[in-house]
Amino acid sequence: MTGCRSALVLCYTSGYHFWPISEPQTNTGTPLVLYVSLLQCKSSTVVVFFSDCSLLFSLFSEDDAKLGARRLARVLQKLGFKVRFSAFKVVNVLAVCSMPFGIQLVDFTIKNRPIASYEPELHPAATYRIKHIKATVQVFSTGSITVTGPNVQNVATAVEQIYPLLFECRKPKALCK
Amino acid sequence: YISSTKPLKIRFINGLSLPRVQCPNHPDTILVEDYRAGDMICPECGLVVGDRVIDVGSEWRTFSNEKALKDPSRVGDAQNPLLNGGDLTTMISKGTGAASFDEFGNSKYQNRRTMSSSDRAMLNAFKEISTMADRINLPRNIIDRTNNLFKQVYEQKSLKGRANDAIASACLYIACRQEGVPRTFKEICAVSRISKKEIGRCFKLILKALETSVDLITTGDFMSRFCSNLGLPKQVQMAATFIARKAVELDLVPGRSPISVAAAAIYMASQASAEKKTQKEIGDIAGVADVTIRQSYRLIYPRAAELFPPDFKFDTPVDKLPQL
Repeated sequence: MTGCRSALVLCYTSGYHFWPISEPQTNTGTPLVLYVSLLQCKSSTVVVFFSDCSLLFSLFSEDDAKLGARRLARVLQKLGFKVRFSAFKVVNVLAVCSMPFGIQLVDFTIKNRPIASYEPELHPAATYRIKHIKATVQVFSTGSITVTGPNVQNVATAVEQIYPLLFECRKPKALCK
Repeated sequence: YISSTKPLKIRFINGLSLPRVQCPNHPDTILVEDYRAGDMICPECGLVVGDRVIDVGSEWRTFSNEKALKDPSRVGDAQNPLLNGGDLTTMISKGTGAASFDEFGNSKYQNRRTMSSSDRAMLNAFKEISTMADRINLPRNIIDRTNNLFKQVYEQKSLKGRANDAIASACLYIACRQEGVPRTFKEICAVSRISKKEIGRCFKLILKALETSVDLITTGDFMSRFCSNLGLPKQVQMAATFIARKAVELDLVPGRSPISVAAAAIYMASQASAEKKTQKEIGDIAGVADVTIRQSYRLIYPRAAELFPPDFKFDTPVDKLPQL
């Protein structure tokens, strides 16, 4: 989609639910955020940039992402811009998973020394980066983990890989109150 | 001692091409230096092995209370060539006599030639590191380690875009950790102009760039510093250390930063002794908010009786400890 400043201002003043990310300043370019409704229960937040690309967040599957992008293109078409839907790519997948046991982070870090890093002052989770599948796992002491990766397959592989490591360092039930 | 001299026996050791002075009869003994006579003497047989050894001490005594107008020392400072890349340039300082100014009143020799422009940033950083370390009274070995780390990071150029001060602060943090006396990020923040976030980011980047890792912090690392800053006696400090360690072992405080746990332990120990400290005071010293201390204290309070060391003298018994 062709981007120029006046185009975004037009979007902003159209009836759709657009709003700017920060204070709208006509001189500098600020991307706009759109709240796109996909289907009845699902919706996505979209950030539209001045350049040709826009980002979609908070969707639940890869198909939904494509659908949301198409919806955005349709919205912009209705506003009168010449829109072409191209170069769709899933960039990041975030998954949350909860283990039935607590995890002792200190043991976990010591056992997986160079790959895992834990800085309690900076962040309460231990970070475990799996290089060859490019996934990052954040392990919390309550047992919930967050996995981020480039696609859903990588994330699933990461969870499978990390489970045995977590199982070794679990907290025995007796210690939990 | 026998004062007959033999010609110097210089031996080349396999691999090393440095000449080494040795006693011919006792090659393995370490020679004793007699600085007054300028001799190197073998302690086993008393043979004078090397003579006319140049004394590298200072030429004459200089006192600090004398006017520093003329410094009679003819050599410069002890340079650190390992860190600075072997800089042997000479600088010409501002002249004092009339002859050093030309007709317009400008000094003839313009300015000190730029000494080592490539290492200027590094020297600045070393100065900054030294200032920061001086503020928290860090010993020389940590400063040296920090300088070494900074040099390694600087030469790698992988963190080139970051502010040098940020890298210096992060190097200081890593050096303290590596020496076994970790300082909290907040303590380093207090002596640096960089935000904690930025220091944390640089810290992670440096660990990745140098491919090292550091040990995890424990509650005991900070006890002596916090307690002595608060003026608590040794008994209370030992009790607090014990409480914190026990609390972590029993896993009463999952997911809490060791510093918050340490602060809560100090609070509990001080409240049970004669020297009671408020949460605010402890929070100021440790750099934790007093709500955080309250949170951690609530977690360890239920099992307070088990956490105290067995030989602790209670000024306030366990059941009278404040409940927050």
